[in-house]
Amino acid sequence: MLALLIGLAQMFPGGRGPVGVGDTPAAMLSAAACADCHPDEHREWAGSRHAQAWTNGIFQREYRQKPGAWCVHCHAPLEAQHAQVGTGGPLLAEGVNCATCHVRDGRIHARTQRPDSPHETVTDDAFGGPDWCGGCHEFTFPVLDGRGELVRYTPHPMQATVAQFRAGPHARDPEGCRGCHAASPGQHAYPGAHDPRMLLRALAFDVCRAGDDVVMTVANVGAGHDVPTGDVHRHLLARAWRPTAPEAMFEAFLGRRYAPQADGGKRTIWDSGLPPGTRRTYRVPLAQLGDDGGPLSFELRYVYTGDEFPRAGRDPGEPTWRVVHEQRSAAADLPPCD
Amino acid sequence: MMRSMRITTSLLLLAAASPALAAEPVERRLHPASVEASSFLWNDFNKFQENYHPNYLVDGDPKTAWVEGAKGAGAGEWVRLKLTPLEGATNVRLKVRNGYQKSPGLFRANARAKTVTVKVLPGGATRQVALKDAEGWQDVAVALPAQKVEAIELRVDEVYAGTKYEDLCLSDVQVFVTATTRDNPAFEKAKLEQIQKWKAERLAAAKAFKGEAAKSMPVAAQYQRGDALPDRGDEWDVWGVCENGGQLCQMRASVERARLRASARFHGALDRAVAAAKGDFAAFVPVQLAPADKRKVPEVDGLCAANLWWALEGPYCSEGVLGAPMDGQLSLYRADTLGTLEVKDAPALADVIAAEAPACKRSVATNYAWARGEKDAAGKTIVRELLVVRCGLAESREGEVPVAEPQLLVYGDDGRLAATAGRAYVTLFDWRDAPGRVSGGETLYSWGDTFLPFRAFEPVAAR
Ligand code: HEC
Ligand code: HEC
Ligand code: HEC
Ligand code: HEC
Ligand code: HEC
Repeated sequence: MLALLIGLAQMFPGGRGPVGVGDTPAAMLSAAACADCHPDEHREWAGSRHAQAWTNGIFQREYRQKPGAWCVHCHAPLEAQHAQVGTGGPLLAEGVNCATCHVRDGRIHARTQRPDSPHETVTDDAFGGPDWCGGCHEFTFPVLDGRGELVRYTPHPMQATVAQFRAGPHARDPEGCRGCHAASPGQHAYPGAHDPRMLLRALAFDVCRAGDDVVMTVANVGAGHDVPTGDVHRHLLARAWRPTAPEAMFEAFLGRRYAPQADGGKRTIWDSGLPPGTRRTYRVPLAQLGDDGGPLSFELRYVYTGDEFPRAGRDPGEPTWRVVHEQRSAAADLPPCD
Repeated sequence: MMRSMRITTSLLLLAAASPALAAEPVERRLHPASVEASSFLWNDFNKFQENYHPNYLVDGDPKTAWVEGAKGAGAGEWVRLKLTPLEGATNVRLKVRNGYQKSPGLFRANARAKTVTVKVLPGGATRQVALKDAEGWQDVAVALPAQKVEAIELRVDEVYAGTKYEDLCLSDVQVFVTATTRDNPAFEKAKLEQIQKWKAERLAAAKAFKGEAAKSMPVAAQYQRGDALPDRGDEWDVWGVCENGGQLCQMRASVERARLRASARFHGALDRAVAAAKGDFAAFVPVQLAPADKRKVPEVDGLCAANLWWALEGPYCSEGVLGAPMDGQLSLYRADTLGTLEVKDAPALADVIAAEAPACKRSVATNYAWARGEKDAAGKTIVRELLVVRCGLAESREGEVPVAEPQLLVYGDDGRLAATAGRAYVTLFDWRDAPGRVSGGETLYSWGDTFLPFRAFEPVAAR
């Protein structure tokens, strides 16, 4: 395990610095260099969040608040991308690209070499495994200096997707994360929370009636880790309301809350996210929703940002939320809870 | 590449809704975030709009009301309730509390609506309805061929006369619309909270200006934005000019821009601001602010004070005008009330701007200041320009980070505040009022690049 981690640490510095590709010809750094021979991988990657890791509006909005090198280490990790941060540039816009994951010292890295491969490929069994993904998807709160450069990491997790996976029922899946995230034909789509189908696959939502109460159940049935897992601001909202009385709406927050720490970082002080295979129920007295007698509405909403409805000037230019499940019904028509 | 942040409305995001239930019509309650009216009564009884403003139609409180302010008994007066835009609306139902329902006595003393024309916008469908001369709720409904709804207008056609006053009153209106757009309850709830917050701020302002204290307030009860001044069409963007950070660079870009757009009477102050920024504030000496009057000007007057948060989120003001003196400090409105003391070993401006000075790492924010003074005839030094940099820890996504927000203040020959500038705004002040209050001015927001005049808004003479 230790040897493995050291090996992996060499591919991704975990936000401690840019990804160095050693002696690699500049022409190999852009995804364009691979597109002709790997059109399927390229097409899927181009539509993925990895390709948009630098340009997407949600990231850019947060980055602009306090532009810092630390963010760049994971969202546009190559040294040559760092060099374009001040001025902008096409390589910077590629976010997490082919070279970041596959190229070091001019050579291709992969788990195995394919029979008709023209590359002088370096293979490693751990390539693409959960800990390898953890090179970017598992880290603790940082302490940053005035320029946003990392001073040190604190012990408190900021994103713990791999640890959650390890502790959950999918830990032994031979395909690891890729069984769910690289199952597309070209294996590079990496769909996640921005993909409505993935959200539907992850989350079940059920409503029933118990006497004068309604009961909502939210369950993580399909993710290999907590939902939500990654970025600090992500959360779910389970809501029940009468459309004629929005002000009496019931709302449950599923996500994390943090408090600043003396060490300069933050710590999670509340976590109502759903570990894999778990459920949470919310019992709401009907009377609390206003007594007007109209239909009841229910929804489970995934929110990407801290602010569900951004104020003027803070609109990231892409959706800040997505409804995963919704239903409407008269109280009398709800199935009884058993 | 950094792009300028355009000021757009969050309502656009509602279009992101997924299909499923969206096409099924449902009757839902809508909360307007504000209400417009043809007029409202504004006198010494509601100097801070603690009542009578059209917003009180939608606060759910029968003790408050919209009271029209035109001459006559109120026929022809109207209110417009702006709603979350909805598609496929087929029915509008209103619940109305007619008259001033604070007490039975006031109900009779003031006028009530007798017939009202309900207009559905943008389509313009109208329907005249009769209202009962009674306290409590009454229902009004307008059926429509399916259409878009963005606002509802109520125009008063006839009134029941009041026994004592001519003023027409409506205590409350609730809006219910049957439509197909996704029902977004949290959004509506947030709008109601906005009205409640506004109401609380009006009451707080009234308190802050009570009695003797009001006389020394350098600001009026409220300011209103005017229409944007004509665009010169020269595309401009503080982010593009200065790339990331570079707050003083952005401030300089803002004052240079304002100099091109502002009215001539402000050119003198702006020339000095440009000179100070161009000279990197080299002629400024570090000072400490020790004002005798430590009061703050309430935020609610429509002038938003610069604050530390702007360092992270950019200058922002929901309703008013950006750029009132840093942290709302009253003393900053006049050069003679600043109370500046020279300091010896102050940190370098560059270190404070970079939030690297020791005090920037504390959770209680600190103001650092630099001033350029001139000697008057009596040999006394008068501050002409002041650069205030507020710094301290602010909570960000990673933890508490040191941040700094600068503001340049330029004083006129009479010692009154003539201009403020930050990294994406410039505000220019007029003092045409006798008692020494800001009467209005012009302001530049460089996010979205709008240039707005603003003016003091005052109650009419007591009735
Ligand atoms: C001249 C065509 C060509 C170019 C250009 C090319 N590849 Fe390949 N690559 C192949 C072929 C052929 C294979 C083996 C069959 C397959 O998997 O498609 C391969 C295989 C791979 C593999 C699997 C490991 C292996 O060696 O079998 C990886 C990873 C890979 N390429 C990455 C890249 C990246 C990254 C780039 C751009 C820097 C790139 N390739 C550019 C043709 C090319
Ligand atoms: C986030 C990291 C990541 C990025 C970005 C990425 N890949 Fe991969 N790629 C992988 C992993 C993990 C595998 C699986 C390793 C294996 O099976 O050898 C893989 C496998 C491949 C393979 C082997 C055949 C296949 O499709 O599985 C090719 C070819 C390939 N990648 C090309 C590319 C190209 C071209 C790009 C850019 C357009 C790219 N990759 C971007 C992680 C990445
Ligand atoms: C070089 C760093 C890096 C590596 C290695 C990496 N990722 Fe990512 N990944 C990112 C970043 C950064 C994002 C966020 C992009 C954004 O801003 O939306 C991301 C996004 C994702 C998303 C989409 C999340 C969403 O909300 O839609 C998934 C799924 C994902 N990664 C899975 C993986 C898996 C599985 C692996 C390992 C096979 C992996 N990643 C390897 C950096 C990396
Ligand atoms: C059993 C299937 C499965 C496995 C295994 C799995 N995931 Fe996921 N993952 C999902 C689903 C479904 C979603 C969408 C729900 C969500 O966004 O939480 C998701 C979402 C994500 C997201 C974005 C969503 C968020 O909540 O921020 C990331 C990042 C991610 N996965 C990374 C990983 C990594 C890294 C691994 C391996 C350590 C992994 N996943 C293993 C199914 C899986
Ligand atoms: C150690 C690697 C790492 C560093 C450093 C890092 N991020 Fe990320 N970031 C990720 C990964 C991995 C994801 C994907 C998780 C997910 O989708 O929820 C992500 C997702 C995000 C998202 C969500 C984007 C979306 O698509 O919804 C935002 C916003 C974000 N990061 C902002 C930042 C900012 C700002 C910084 C610097 C202050 C930063 N990140 C530094 C790895 C990192």
